[in-house]
Amino acid sequence: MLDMHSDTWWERALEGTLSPAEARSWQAHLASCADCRVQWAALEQLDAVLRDAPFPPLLPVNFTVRTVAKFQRRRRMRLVWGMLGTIVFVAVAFGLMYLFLGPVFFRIDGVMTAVLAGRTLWLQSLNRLLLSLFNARGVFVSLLLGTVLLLSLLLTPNSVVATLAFVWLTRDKWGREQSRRVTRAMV
Amino acid sequence: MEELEFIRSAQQGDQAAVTWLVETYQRPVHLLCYRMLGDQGEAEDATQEALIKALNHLDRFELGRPFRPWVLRIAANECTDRLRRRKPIISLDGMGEDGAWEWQAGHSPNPERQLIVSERLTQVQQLLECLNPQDRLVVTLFYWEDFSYDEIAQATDLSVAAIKSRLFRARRAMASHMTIEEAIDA
Repeated sequence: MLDMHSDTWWERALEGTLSPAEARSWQAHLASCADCRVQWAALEQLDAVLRDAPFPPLLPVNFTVRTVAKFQRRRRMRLVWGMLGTIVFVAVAFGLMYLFLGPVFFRIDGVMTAVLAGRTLWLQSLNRLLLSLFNARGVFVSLLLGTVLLLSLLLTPNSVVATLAFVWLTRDKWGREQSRRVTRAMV
Repeated sequence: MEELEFIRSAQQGDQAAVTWLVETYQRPVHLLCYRMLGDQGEAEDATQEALIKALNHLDRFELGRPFRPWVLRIAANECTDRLRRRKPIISLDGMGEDGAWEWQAGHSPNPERQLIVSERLTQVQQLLECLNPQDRLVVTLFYWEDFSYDEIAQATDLSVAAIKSRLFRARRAMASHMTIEEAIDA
């Protein structure tokens, strides 16, 4: 049997999970141990006070209406702030793109070149990369990387390819030549 | 319509369902907030904030689980945050600066009964104030929300063994405080 002064015993006694034999022993102990008797009486009194505690005052009658209105208001504000944030983000993104990509982005021949020549640029870069790898690392690595990059070229959306091409074209003379050719073809 | 249907509808933004949830759970949430904070005004604010947070995060609620422990957990976190932001001692003399209790005691049909009720409420709140917020929460959920040990574990992230231990320590602390108060009164 557990020590009757241990926390575990007292927890079980309070929960009412003592066996009949244990409960009899407990009553006998309380009769003989004054400290335990006083503490037990205090705990029983506390239990009664807590269980009989009155309910707090009621909420105001319009509480539901006010709460739902506040919830709806906050949700609307979150949507408004979300939209404003998106507009600001797009404006900043376009501003940065204009700053770094310069006239290529807003010239129609630059746009056409990037869209039409994006995949050609990608294939040319892939070709150069694979040749260097073949010389440095051998056939296997080149074949593996070549397969991965070729698949990526086929599966990448054209818009992403065009965007990458924009960045490339601001730094590449070839891009400027292509751009002139496309302009002449359009005329 | 079952509670699950109301929750699903509220997740999709149905106002009637949102209203139903607020109406149904305001009382248990308020009870917990009042026991935790000890002030009617603050408990009302905390109740409103807790319910709004629950509605805002309704998309995170798993439909198969019971709703009450989930919403009371949000309320408990709200109360714990408020307790951390202020001093723990609350003067309950007169029950608030607006004299709410005095008004009620003076105008209700049975002012004597109201006074007895307010004294008992004061006594209980003074006992709860000798506990830390976590123990106060466990006592509140056990005695006034009628939660089982498992439900308390769900609402508090504690194990059942830890809950039993905290409950026992809290009872002992409150009993000791009650005995001291009675000795002082005597």
